[in-house]
Amino acid sequence: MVLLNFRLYRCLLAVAALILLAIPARAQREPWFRTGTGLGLEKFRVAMADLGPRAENARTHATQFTQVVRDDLAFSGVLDLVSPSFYPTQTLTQPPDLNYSAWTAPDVKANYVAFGNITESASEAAIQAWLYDVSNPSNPQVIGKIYRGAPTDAQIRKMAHLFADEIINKLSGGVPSVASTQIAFISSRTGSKEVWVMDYDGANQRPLTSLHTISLTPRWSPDASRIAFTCYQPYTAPKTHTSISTAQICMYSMDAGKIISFPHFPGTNSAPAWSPDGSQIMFSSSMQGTPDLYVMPVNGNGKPTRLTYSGVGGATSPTWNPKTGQTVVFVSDRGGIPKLYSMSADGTNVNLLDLPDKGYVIDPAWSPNGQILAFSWRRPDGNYDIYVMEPSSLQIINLTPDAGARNERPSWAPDGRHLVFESTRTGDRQIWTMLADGTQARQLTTTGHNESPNWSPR
Amino acid sequence: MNTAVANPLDPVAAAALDEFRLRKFLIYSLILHGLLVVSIAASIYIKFQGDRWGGVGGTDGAVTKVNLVGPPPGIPLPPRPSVPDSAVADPSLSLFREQPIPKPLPQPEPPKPAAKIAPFKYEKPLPPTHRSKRDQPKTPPPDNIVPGKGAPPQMPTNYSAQPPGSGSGPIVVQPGQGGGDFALKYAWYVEAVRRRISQNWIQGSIDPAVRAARQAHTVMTFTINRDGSVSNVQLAQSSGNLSMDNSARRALEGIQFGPLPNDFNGSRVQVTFDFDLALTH
Repeated sequence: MVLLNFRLYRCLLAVAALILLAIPARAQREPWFRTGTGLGLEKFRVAMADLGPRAENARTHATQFTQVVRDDLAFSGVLDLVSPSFYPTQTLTQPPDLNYSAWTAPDVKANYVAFGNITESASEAAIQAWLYDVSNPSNPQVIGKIYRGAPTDAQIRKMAHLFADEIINKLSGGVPSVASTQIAFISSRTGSKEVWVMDYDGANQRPLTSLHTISLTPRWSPDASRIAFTCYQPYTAPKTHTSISTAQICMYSMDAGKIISFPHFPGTNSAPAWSPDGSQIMFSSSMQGTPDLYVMPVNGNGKPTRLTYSGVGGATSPTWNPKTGQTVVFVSDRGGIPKLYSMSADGTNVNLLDLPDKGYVIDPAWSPNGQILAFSWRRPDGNYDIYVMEPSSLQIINLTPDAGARNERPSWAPDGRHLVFESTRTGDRQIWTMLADGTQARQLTTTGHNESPNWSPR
Repeated sequence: MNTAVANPLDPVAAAALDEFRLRKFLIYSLILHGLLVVSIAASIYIKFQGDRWGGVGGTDGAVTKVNLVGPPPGIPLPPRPSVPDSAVADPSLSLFREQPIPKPLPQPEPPKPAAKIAPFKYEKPLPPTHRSKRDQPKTPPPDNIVPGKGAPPQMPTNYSAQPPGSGSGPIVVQPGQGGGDFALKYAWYVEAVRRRISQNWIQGSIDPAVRAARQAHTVMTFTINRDGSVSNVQLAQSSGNLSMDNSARRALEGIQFGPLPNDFNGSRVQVTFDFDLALTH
């Protein structure tokens, strides 16, 4: 009979052992998932159920919170808000109350449901808020948070904005949400043009400065801690010691709540623009005769460096490309009428951005992704309209074709989807917002004259 | 029991002795070990088989196919950079100058007319891109290839004559959705990633012929780190067409997703993403 070789037997054992070890090792993998295009791109549908007040004293704030979150979600443009009239009627204040089939029923068809409750005492309001994925009942929770603050309207609004931010950030896969952003603008409702600030939806309008002179062109710093603007301040000439009031660059600190110092220069200094890293400011100055662009460090150390030599034409309204920081677009008269020019950030390589029609072109503004330029253009047949252009293809689109009024000074929201601008379509100059395709224009201010808006970057 | 003392030097007697005592137990031992290995392997296979491929969102494996009906209405994206002929915009006034066209490289030798091209055995593969000067191979093919012996014709594109799959049906592949624990727990994150990339995918740069054929399918893999940044973008399965693969790669460039979910323990997640022209409009 055949005797099995012991060596062969040992080899077989070794192979068997290896197989045994290999199977469990292969079974544990790195976390992973697979998905793909082509499975539908309809916007997902989010429902915000009425916030449940735990006691009667919380009822007004519950309604306010719910309304603000719904408005923020509807404004964002990344999702569809399910209309409240279609919601199931059961009260929903805690996760066990959630009836998944009611919310995925064909007449509601929600993908995500936000709900919660509010408890209020004399000193504190506490809001528990959840966002649940109703199409995934085994693991539904997306967000579960508690917000605490003083029981005032302003705090409730702030908590609602934070919750809406959270929803949009999570569901859109990283697109920034504008619910907590603000808009700085100039208002003359107190008698003189001052710098004001308001929430992006027009609430909470309040003045920042009270200089009782003329303030213009507010611009947020990239970290939203300061606002640079043009103001009229006395400038003392160093040799003659005469003092006259001229346009200067002023700086307001949001952290300190007051105006902080910034160097003054002779001539007219206006139109500040921040570099994307927040270390430099470019502005238009006539300190050496004709208005030209100068750049200097923000902390005030160092002298301004001259970048353009425009002659009589001048150069103003600079705007840095926020993505690359390498290109600056500005307005110059050197060709006879105001047109847009682009240059490198060190002043070289000046190019005309030629448009296929005549007319004044002013107020350029780069979108946050650095690919689209918005500006205001008065063509020979009409009023100023807001246009957007892709500088690489020179394709232009008119965003306000039917407004029949002056629409100027566009400024982009940090999500790159919305614009704020000033318009005279109601008769007097007010601040409006709209989507970047020109739809959904909304008026934000009503009192006095309001102009020159600038959207905060966060 | 054999009481005879075996002489170790006597091979026949030694063999007989060993065989009598040990063979039985040797065989039992081998059988038992083999059964052990098989039972462990089978139990692991059974344990992991079902859960691995659970469908996203608890729909137990069913994959729905939804046709995308044109550009999504109402999404307020900035205008896409498609370039129709417009009376207003004048492309000759563009700010950027095009690259100077490189000198045309020498054309490769056409196959000799007498050589027979082997018939394809499988389904019609993807239509080739039209010849573009830039896709010419840098070196002309060597002179000593023997055409007609089943070698694919030398076409100056990256189009491969091998079909991308072994299926006998059309090349449309249903993109699987799956992912084990991560996709089950964080279906919303998977969905957000899917939407972001789908919206970032610009099909306008794909060859018109390939786009019209509606069959190309590229699979890319990449890693999402804890903070949402993307790394290690790789082409896992080419569609056979360079413009399609490049459009897929570009869709993943410069995207920063939201951070991974807070209660997720890992530091990154691998993603396999299908770009499929067949399921889009």
